[in-house]
Parts: sequence; C-alpha cells; structure tokens
Amino acid sequence: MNLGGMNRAQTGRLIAEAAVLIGLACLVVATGYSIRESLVSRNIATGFGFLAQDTGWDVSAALLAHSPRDTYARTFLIGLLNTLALSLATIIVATVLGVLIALVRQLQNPLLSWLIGGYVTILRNVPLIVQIFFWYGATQGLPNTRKAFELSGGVFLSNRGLYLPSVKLGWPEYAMLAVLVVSIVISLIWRHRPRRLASGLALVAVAVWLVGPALFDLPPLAVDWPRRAGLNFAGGMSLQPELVAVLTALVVYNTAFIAEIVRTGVQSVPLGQIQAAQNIGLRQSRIFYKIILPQAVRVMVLPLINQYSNITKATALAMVVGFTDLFSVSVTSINHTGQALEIVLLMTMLYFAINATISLVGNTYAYFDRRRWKR
Amino acid sequence: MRDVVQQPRAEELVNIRALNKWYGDFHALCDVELDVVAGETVAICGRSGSGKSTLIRCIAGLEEFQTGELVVHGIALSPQSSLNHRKVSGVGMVFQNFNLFPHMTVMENLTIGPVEVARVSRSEARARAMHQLERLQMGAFADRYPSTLSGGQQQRAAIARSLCLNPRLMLFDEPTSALDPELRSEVRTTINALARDGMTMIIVTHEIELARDVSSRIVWMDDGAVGRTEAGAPPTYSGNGRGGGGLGGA
Amino acid sequence: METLGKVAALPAAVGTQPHKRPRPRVIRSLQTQVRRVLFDTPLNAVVTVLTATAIAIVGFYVVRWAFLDSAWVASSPAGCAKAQGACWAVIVKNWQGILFGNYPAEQRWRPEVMLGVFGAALVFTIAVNVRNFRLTLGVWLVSLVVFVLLMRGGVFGLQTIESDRWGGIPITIFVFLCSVTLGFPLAIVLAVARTGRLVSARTISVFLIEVLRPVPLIAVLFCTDLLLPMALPNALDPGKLGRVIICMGVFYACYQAEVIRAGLQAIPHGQIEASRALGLGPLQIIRLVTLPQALRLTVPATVNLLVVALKDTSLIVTVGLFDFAATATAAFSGNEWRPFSNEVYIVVALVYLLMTLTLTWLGHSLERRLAKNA
Ligand SMILES: Nc1ncnc2c1ncn2[C@@H]1O[C@H](COP(=O)(O)OP(=O)(O)OP(=O)(O)O)[C@@H](O)[C@H]1O
Ligand SMILES: [Mg+2]
Repeated sequence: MNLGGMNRAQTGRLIAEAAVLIGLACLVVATGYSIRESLVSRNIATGFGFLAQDTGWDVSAALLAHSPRDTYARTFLIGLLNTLALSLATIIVATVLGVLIALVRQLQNPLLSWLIGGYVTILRNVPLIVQIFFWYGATQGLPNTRKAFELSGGVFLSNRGLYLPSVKLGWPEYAMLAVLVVSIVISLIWRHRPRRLASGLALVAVAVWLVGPALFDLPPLAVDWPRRAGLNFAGGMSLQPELVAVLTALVVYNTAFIAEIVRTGVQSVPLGQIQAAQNIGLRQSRIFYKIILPQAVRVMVLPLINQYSNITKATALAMVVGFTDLFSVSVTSINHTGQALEIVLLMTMLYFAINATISLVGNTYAYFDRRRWKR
Repeated sequence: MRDVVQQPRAEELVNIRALNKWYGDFHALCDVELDVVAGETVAICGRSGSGKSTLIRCIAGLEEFQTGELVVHGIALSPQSSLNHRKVSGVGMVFQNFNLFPHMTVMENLTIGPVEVARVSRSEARARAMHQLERLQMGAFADRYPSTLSGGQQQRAAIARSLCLNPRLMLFDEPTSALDPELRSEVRTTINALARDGMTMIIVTHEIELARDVSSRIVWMDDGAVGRTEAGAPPTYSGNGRGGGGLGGA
Repeated sequence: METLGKVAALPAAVGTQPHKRPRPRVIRSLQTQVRRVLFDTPLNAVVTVLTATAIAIVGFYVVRWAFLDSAWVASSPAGCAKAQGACWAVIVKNWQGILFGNYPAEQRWRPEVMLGVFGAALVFTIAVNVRNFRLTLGVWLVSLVVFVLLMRGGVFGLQTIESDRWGGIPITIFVFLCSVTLGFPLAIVLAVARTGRLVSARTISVFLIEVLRPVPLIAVLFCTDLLLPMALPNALDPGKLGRVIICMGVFYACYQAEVIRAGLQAIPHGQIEASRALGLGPLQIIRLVTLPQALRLTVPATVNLLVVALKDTSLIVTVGLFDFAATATAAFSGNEWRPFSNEVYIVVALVYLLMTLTLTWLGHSLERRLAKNA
C-alpha cells in the first residue's frame, strides 16, 4: 500500500491516529449526550451564574469574615484560602522538623537513629485518614475548658481547641513581613553581596519594627492574650479541635516523609566532600549546614516539590472532621446547587493552579541553583 | 636532609609503629613503620593497590586502623578512637580528586576554614586566601566556581585551600594523576616551592620522576608493607635549575 | 589494648605473601561495644542518655496504659471506665464488626474464608518468592474471582448478598488488588502513549495524567461517584463498588504511568537503535526491549506507589463504602464506646502497618532477586 509517497510505517501511524481520534470522539459524544439527558431529566441549571448568588449556608471557620449571605464566589475564595493556609502551615513546620531530624541523624547515635527510623516507618505506613481520626479522638479526650492545660503562659489546650494569643496586624507588620519575604526571595536566588544585603535589610526591618513604636509615632503591636472567662476563654484566637487534629496529623505524617527525602539528599553528597571538610577542621554541625545541606538541596528539590504537592492534596482530608477547605466547599455547593459539572471543573482548576504554582516556584529555584554551580 | 643533620633533635611530625589495617578480611596495611621529621619531603611509591592511599588517609585521620600506633603532629590516634570524633589539626590533605566544594567559589572554598575554624575575620581571611592564590598564580580565578576550572587549576585551588590554614604537614594523594603532562611540571614547581619554604610533605605518587625530583626520601610500598627506602634529591640542592621559575615567595 | 579485650592468637602466614595475616578476631565484651558506639564522646553520651530516658519514660507510660492498667473484657463501657488504661474490650467485643462490617452475621464464614484465601495467596507468593511471576499473578486473579463469587453468592446455593453490605478488611484488600490489576496495564498504555510518536494518543495521555495528578484522590472519588452515573447509561453503571474501583485504578495508573515513563526514558537510546537494526517493529521494541528493562528499573518506585495505593483504599469511606478504617469507626461511633476510639485506631494502624510492611518486604525481595539476576 502506498498513499501519495508515504511508506508503510507512516500510513500505519496515520491510520492509528485516526482510529484513536474517532474512538475519542465517539466517547465524548456519547458521554456528552448521556450527561445532557440526565441534566435535562433532573432539571438542573447550567453555567456559572450561581457564583454570584448567596449561598444561604455558612462555613465553620475561615481566615476571612464569613456569613450565610456570602456569594458562592466568596465562599470558594474562603475555601481556597483555608486550603492554602493549612498547606502552607504544614509545609513550613514539616520541612523545619524534617531538616532537624536529618541534623540529629548526623550525630550517628545508634539508639537515636533507631528511634527516628521507627518513627518514620510507622508514620509513613499508616493511612493519613486513620491518623487524623486518631488525633481527633485525642483532642476529644482532652480536659474541658475549666481544667484546660496551660502549655506556656497564655497558651491553653482543651477539648474545645487550642487557645493562642493573637496579634492585630497593622501596616508596620505588613511592611515588615513584605520586606522579609522579598529578602528571602532574593537570598534564595542570588548569593554573595545580594544575599548579605538582603539579610541585612531583613535585620534592619525587624529592628525598626521592634524599636519603631518607641521612637516614632507608630501604632504598637496589639497582642491579645486568651484569658479564662467563666467556663470558657475570652480574647486571643482559638483553633478548633478539628483543626488542631488535622494540623497535627498532617505535620506528623509529612515530617516522616520529608525526613526521608532529606536523608536521601544527605546521602547523595559524596563522602569525599565530608572528608575534605573534616580535614579543614569544620565542626559536624558546620559541615552539615555549610557543605552537606546546600549540596543535598539540589537532590531534594524535585521530591520536595512532589511532597508539597501531596500536602496540598492531603488537606482535602480535613473535610472528614469538618474543617472547611476547597474540597468541602465544593461538596456543599454541589449538594445545594446540583451544578456538579461546573463546580467539579472549578475545583479541579483551582487545585491545578495551586500545584502549578508550587512546581513553578520549585523549578525556578532549581533553575537558578543549577545555573549557579555544577558538580 | 641537611636540615635534619644540622638539627640533631628535629621535630618529628609523624610516627607510625607497626600499623595494621584490614578492609573486612583484606590486609591492606601490614606492620607499616614510618617517621617523618619537620622539613622533610617524603614520597610514597608503589604499584596500584599497594596501600599508598590507605596509609596517607590513615595519617590524615580519615581511616580507622586495627592495631599499631600513629602519632600525627603530637596527636596520638588509636585504634579505639572512632572516626567521627577525631580532630587532627595542622595537617592539610590534597585529595586525588581534589574534593573542592562545588557550591562555593574558589574564594569561599579558601576562606571557609579560616573563618569558621580559626575565627579569622572575613577580610583577613580573604587577604590570606588571595595571598595563597597569587602565590600559586591563581589570583584571576578567585570568584569562579570549581566546575569552571581546569584540572590543574582545581588542584592548585585545593592546595591553596589547605595552605590557608597554615598546616605543619601537607599530604598529597597522587597530585599528578588527574593532570596532563604539561600540568605535571606545574605541580612539580609548586611542590618544590613549598619544600623550599620548609613545608613538610608526604606525597603519594606513581610517578617515579616526580618522586625523585621533589622528595628527600622515597618509601616504596608493596602489597601493604613498606619495602626499601631510597634517598631522593632534597630540593634544597636545586642549584641546577630543577624546580626553577619559583613562585613568589611567602 | 586492655579495652580491646582479648586478641585471638594470630595464625602463621597465609599463602604466598608472608606478611599478610588474617584479621585478628577481636572479641569485645558487650560492655566495650556499647561504650564504643554509645558513649565514645561526651556529646554522644549525652545524646544516648537523653534518648534512653525519653524511650524509657514514653515506654513506661505506653506499657502501663496498654497492658498493666488496661481492661480486656468488659460487657459495657462502664466496666472499662474503672480501668485507668486502655480499654481493649471495645475490640474484643466488636472484633467481628471491625473485621467484616455489616455482612450478615450468620454468613460471616464467607468473609472469613475469603481472608483465608487471600492469606493462602500471600503464603504462595512468599513461597515461590515471586519467582514464577505468571503463576503468582494467576493465583491472585483467581482469588479475586473467588472473592466475587463467595461474597456475592447467588451461585452454588449461596444466598445473594449485595456489595453494599460488604465491608471491612476483605473490601480493603479487594479494592486494592482490583485497582492495581486494572491500573497497572493502563499505566503501561499511558506511559507508552506518552513517550510514543502517536500525537493523538500522547495528547490524551498527557491530558489525563496532568489533569488527575493535581487533584486529591478524595475529590476524584467523590466526583466519579457523582458524575459517572450521569455519564453512563443506567445499564452500564457498574455500581458504587465498581465506580470506586475504576476511579482508584485510573488514579493509580496516572501515578504509575509517570514512574514507568521515567524508567522508559532512562533506557539508553542505543538499545532502541540496536533493536531496530535487528528488524524489530516499534511495538516489538517496547514489548521485548524497553518495557521489561523499564519495569525492572522502577521496582522500588512501584513498591512505594503500591503502598500509597493500599493506604489510599482508606478513602473510600468518603463515598459511603465500608472499608476497614470505616467499619472500625462504626464499632464505636453512635454508641457508648465512643471514648475509646483511639484504642480502635491503634489496632487499625497496626493492621495497616502489617499489610504495608508485608508489601514493602515482598517488593524488596523481588528487587534483590532482580539485582542478583542482572
Ligand atoms: N573501602 C575499601 N574497602 C575494601 N577494600 C579497599 C577499600 N579501599 C581500598 N581497598 C583495597 O585496599 C588496597 C589498597 O588500596 P589503596 O587505595 O590504598 O591503593 P593505592 O596504592 O592507593 O592504589 P592506586 O595507586 O591505584 O591509587 C587495594 O587492594 C584496594 O582494593
Ligand atoms: Mg590511591
């Protein structure tokens, strides 16, 4: 067979392409038809008009003010922000703990290594949902508010949740945080003088923020401590027991994974590097920070991006104990509007955006890191 | 050698007595005896696999051994002391593959030791590093990353990194094996210059040429044991143009 | 040298090299060994003491709670409340419900037999050490068929029991095995499509993988459960369990496909050129040359994914199926055993730990065997 000068392989490929496309087209048409039928038969509206309507139901806890009179769009924003906040908190705490565990492992004490190994193995192998249920059960077993544990001055733990001092952020705080973020970004991308300048800038910002209210006419930081008031607490902020349980479970579970990722990275650094550093006379901890970690990070970046992405997905499990996140907002919205297709599409796109952002940030870092030095 | 003769009780930097090392069941070092006094340049030669690297790594405190005595720069290393907690000071080692820190510039590689260990100020450390780099004609490469340097340049950077800590003893593992012939003569020049400045050195090498040229004594190793010892040409006699050129003296 | 203990007498010279000696067998007392690894420097000693103290304190409370002060039999939660420690009575009392969920009590022998069948398949797998791969695969496929026949009934005079009453450990194992059996071949197809030259197939594969991977499995499960009945005519609807298995299988396939793709891309191009020179066609090259090598390369990553898939079966509770974690929850929720939920979850965790560690161990032995053959 020879069509217009094509050889057999090309013809075969063309036929295969056509077959795949026709198959796909049939599938899409059939599915579309079936969905349309069921939408019509159930009398469900279509389109994204519902986003502008009021929900009529409220969410349980959120970073933003919320009420049943919020629109669906705002409720989705609230869910998205809750997901982001929970993910970010987990990512930061679990990463710090994972690196600390790797540092402690450097001590090479067999007893300690055995303990850490046990922790990692057990926590990695038990489903997260079981761990969330476990911690939720644990919060239910806490004493009531009258006998609440006082963890350290002004931090209380009871079966009604965790009570923390809250701060009221004014513009000086936002300004300082902005400077901090900028300098962290600068020092992640550049080194040498820019990095030193950035850390100097950060120090100055913190110093100005600290002494500012005394010297200039700046509003001082308002800290609101929780106080016992009757049977409950007043002031400060409280984290619901659900959130405490989910956050604990997420941190504990993901710390085990990140500790393992860091360990793999640390092991990838050639022994010769460590011996050279020992020969120079560096202390163990300096070898870890100055020689091992910077080289290990190169190996860790991709698995870490992956793990961070897993964390954002895992936050959806918070729904099982009633925390309001992107997924639970989507589920409730579907139950109230019936517009499953639109909401699933919206939710998928939002999760997609979160993960794309994580991988963009990670890959940008990896790009600059690779450009800076090679092995 | 002449120095040794002139000073009857020269300072001994390395004493090795009946050193034995096994890798698993493989006897890698067999009853090795070696003494090195200050100012000497000792070459260790021998076939591949004869245990030269193993010996020099023992001296640097990077390997455990099973029996024997090893005193380096006044510090007695014993078979019991575990590797992690050894502190051998004043001994600089130039590794076979240099082991420069790839994520740091040459300057950072050179200053990290003085700043972190000797607690020298950053500017002082930079000045010291620049001095060593100039001495090895590497001044132009201070802000480059190791991967952008040639083999010979990397090696000189590694030598300079060790020198920045003012070592009493320098150990070289096959300083020429990674280099092409022209660069080898550069290394020879460098080592000769160090020897003239009175540095004590132990050099592991395959190259008998290099050994004869730079060392005051050649120790032959065979199958893990020290064989005969042969006198080399101490560089202090180098009136005949060997090791010429010279580096800007320290 | 005293601290080194006795040095065994050195035998005379060995072989032709007079100076070589065998390594002296240093017999160290336990005390010396402990001192060497745990107390060799002050820092290490401090770390050892702190760690040991922590282990001792936590261990003391755990043992006291779990064993010394615990109650194993109690007809009602009130009996447990008297004990200071764990209330294992909640397990002892409800273990059948925890293991098998809502399956009719007089038919419980069926899931029990089923657990035996899965156990036998596992013992067989371990016995042949995954050496005969096809036979092992066949045994597991047969066990799946037996599962459906036995649990559902309706044949051989067995009473029919619909899948909404199935629950517990058998469901967890069944969903895991089915989704992997479905997902693995699909993963191969997706990976080959993504690395292949058919533009349409590549696009579909990329689209499916990139859309599903960022979304949480729990959301995908929920959406499939919701949308699949809409998208399929009623006659084709596979039921809730079927939908869950399809969803978990496809989701697993998306991750597994990326692993296999990495394996395929790690194979040197020379292999493909050499196969072409031998006259193999593109599909033959994949089937005979690249895919087998890629699968070998990716055994460790695949084992990790299998463990993830096994743990993920615990999410099917969100669409109303009763997997092991869910039946365990049902044992105390809504009744007065509620305060002892954590005893139940500890047992659940131990069972999951047993399953995942078995899986990991099987994976490691397969890895070791492949490494030996390579
Ligand atoms: N880490 C190790 N484990 C086991 N055996 C080793 C190890 N390192 C070295 N050996 C063995 O010890 C012997 C001596 O090794 P060494 O590296 O000291 O040789 P060398 O004289 O430096 O050789 P070369 O000139 O090739 O560098 C060799 O037979 C080698 O196989
Ligand atoms: Mg060597």
